[in-house]
Formats: sequence, structure tokens, C-alpha cells
Amino acid sequence: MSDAATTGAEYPGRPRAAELLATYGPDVAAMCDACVAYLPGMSGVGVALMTRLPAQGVRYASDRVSERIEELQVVLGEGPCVDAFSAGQPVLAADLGDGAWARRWPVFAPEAFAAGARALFALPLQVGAARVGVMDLHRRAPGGLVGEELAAALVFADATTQALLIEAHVRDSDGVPELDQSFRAVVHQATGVVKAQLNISIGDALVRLRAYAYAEDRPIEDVARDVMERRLRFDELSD
Amino acid sequence: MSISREQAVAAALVELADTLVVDFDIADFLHTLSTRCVELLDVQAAGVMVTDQRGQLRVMASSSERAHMLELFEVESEQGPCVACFHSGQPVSDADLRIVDPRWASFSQHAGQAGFTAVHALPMRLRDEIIGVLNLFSVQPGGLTAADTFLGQALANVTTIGILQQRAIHHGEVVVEQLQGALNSRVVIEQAKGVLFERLNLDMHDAFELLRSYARRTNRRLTDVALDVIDDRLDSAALLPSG
Repeated sequence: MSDAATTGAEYPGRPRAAELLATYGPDVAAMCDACVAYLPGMSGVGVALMTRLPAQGVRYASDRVSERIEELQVVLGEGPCVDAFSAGQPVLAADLGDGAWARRWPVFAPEAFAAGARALFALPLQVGAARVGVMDLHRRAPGGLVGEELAAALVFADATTQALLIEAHVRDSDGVPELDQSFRAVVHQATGVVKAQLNISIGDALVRLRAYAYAEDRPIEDVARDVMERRLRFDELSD
Repeated sequence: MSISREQAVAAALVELADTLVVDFDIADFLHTLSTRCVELLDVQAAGVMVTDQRGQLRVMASSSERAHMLELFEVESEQGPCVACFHSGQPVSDADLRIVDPRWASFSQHAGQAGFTAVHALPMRLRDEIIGVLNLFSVQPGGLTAADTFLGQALANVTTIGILQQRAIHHGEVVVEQLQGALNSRVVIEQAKGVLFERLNLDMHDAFELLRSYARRTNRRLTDVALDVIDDRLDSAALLPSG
């Protein structure tokens, strides 16, 4: 609901995070493959799991080149994925042949280039302080990621973030949490409150909030509002 | 010690242009912009929205909680002068919200409840791209003076340049990178406000001010302080002045 209705009308083809999650659920591999298929000329995608540096592991690689890119970053500790995680923002390298990238990653850039990646886009998978990893998209030909393609890539990254959060934090008894993506401030604030009430990580808190909304069959914004107006405390819920 | 308006304007422009510093924080920077607007222009509240590059505007900073709520409503309901400004790339004003404009009837009502009677939205333009909107809210009806419009747009322009200056512009995608980082910073701050709400029993305004004053006092980036609060590296009570 918080997704743009009007812009959705302007760009009927643009994917929405909630729809992607409804289609692929927590299947990160299928989500990633769909992302590559959706973006023209994109050659592959890899997902590194990172809640801190260095990366904890490679969650998915769609092809050999992606596998090599992920492997290099883990081994070398440098590259767009490492930078995207550190800064909490995307790193978009439209042409690894550009000397600026080789200066930034003196070992990684030539190795990735040699492996067959020419353009590389690292998107952090995060909701504020809840960080789960980085998505690395690559092309074999140079070229930027802009406009509608950029928008689509960011939406796929949003959906993958949710899928990974669910995967990392949901215990069987919790059921499947509310999968809709919400960007509303009240949800972020309530996530912080739940974190403090239960003394859990912010990622766990986000999932708990969503799971509760799902179980109660209510929009997450409503539950968040109850938390902020002190009508609901998560430390008083029975397990 | 009173300083002249010219001196205050010059100081604000220098402050907003001074983003080539190691501890630059975009969330803090945009908050400074909204605060300076209220000090320098004949408006009572100001806020900044930027594009999330998925087709939506997001509220990044507001000079007051009242303005913040109104901006959130505008973004979520996708109506109002600020949204119209973003889509058209042109300044959009509603000089008297009591005379309901059918394009944003529901926004006008919310603005009235928040105590605002006029709103002026100025585009934040980078070459041919609109990256966001500077919103100015007034409790009195009427348009901005020509001088205020000029200065408001100048502040919006300096801010746009400032966002990009944050790091050496070595490639064209830097705008996307910076704005995405800024959006996530905003989420981090909201989450930290929630932690402080629970731990210190503070409302959203006071929670933000506490984060900000602690960051100032300790010379740290607002976003880093917020991250430390969320990740339990910093005890919430330690943020309070004098222990």
C-alpha cells in the first residue's frame, strides 16, 4: 500500500517487492534468477551474507563469473561488495576497465575483469541497521544501471533482503510473517522499540513485528502504531 | 550579539557547502538545511524529501515533528504540493490551504490540523534530474516574498551540490549511491529513536534531539551514534548530558 500507486500506473512493468515475495517467497535463488532475467543484458548475480566484515559466506551465485566475484571479495577483503557493506550504500561500477576502479580495488578489479565481469553493481541488503548482506549484479559488457532498470534492481534487492531476514530469523513456530515491504517511519521506530523490549537484534525485531502482524492479520503499520502509542508491548506477549 | 541577515545567509551557505569533511553525515546535513530555512525565511517549518529511485519520495528531514507528520502523510497519500513539485520539477505553492484545492483536499485538511496555512515546495534539481524537494510551511496565508523564494531555491541548490560533493565524483552513479545511503541512514535514525523511546521514555522529537546533541558533543556522525545505540555498543542512558 505504501508502494507508489501513481508511479505504478506510469510504469506498469515495474516489479513490487510485495509481489516478488508473494511469487518467490523465501526462495533466494529463484528471486535472484528472476532479477537477472528481468534486467536486460545482466549476466549474473551473487549474494554474500554479511552482518559484519568479512563476509560470512556466499548465499547464492547464478553462474561461474558470479561465483568468482564473490570468492575474490571474500579472499581479498576488497571490492564493491565490501565497500557497499561498509558504507551502507550501493557501489555502481559501470566499467571495471575504467582506471578509477582499478585504483580503488588494485587486486580485485583486474581479477574480476579477467574473470569476465565488465560492469558490476553491488547493492546492500539492509533495512536501516538490520543488515543481511550484499547483492552483486554483473554484466559482461560495460554500461550503467540507470532509470527503470535501477529501480527494478533496487526493488529486487528489497525483496531479497526480506527473504533473507525471514530465512535468518524465523523459527518454525513463528509461521510465515507478513511479507509486505513497508517504508513507513512508524514501522522503523516500532522496530527499535521491540528490539529494546525484547533485547534482541534489530533484524530479529523486524521479523517479530512482521510475524505478529501476520498472525493477527493486521497491517504492520497498525501494529507499529499500537507499539508507539503504548497499547502493545512485545515483552508482555505470551510465547 | 546579533548578526545581520546577510551574515546569517552567508554563514548558512558556507555551512551547507562545507561537506568535504571526513565526518560528513547526510542525515544531519539535511536536518541542518531544514533548521536554517526556518531561521532565515519567513516560514515556521521546513522539510526535505528525496527520491528513493524506485518511484517514491521519502521524508529525509524535518525541522519539527508536526511538519514531519504532515510530510509523511503527503508522501504516503501521494498528494500535495511537494509531490506535485517533484513530478513537475517546478516550484509549487499553495498560498492559502483554507481554500481547498481539489488536487490535494485531504492534504489541506491535514495541514490545517497541523496548524499550517501555506506551503511552498521548491525542487532540488541536479542537471535534468529532480532528486528531491525542499518544503516550506507557513502558519500565515500568502506567498513567499521574491527574496525568500530566491534564497530558498539557493539553499536547495547548495544542498543538492553538497550531497554530491560528499565524495570525489569519480563516476556518474555517485548520486544514486549517495541518495540510497542517505535513505538508509534515515531508517537507522528512526530505529534508534524507537530504542530511546523504550529505554528512556522519550518522544520522537526528544529522541532525535538527544541523538543529535550527543553526536555534536562527541564529534561523531549522527548515523554512527544511531547504529551504536541499536547494536548495544552505546548504552542509551550514556547519551544523556552529564551522565
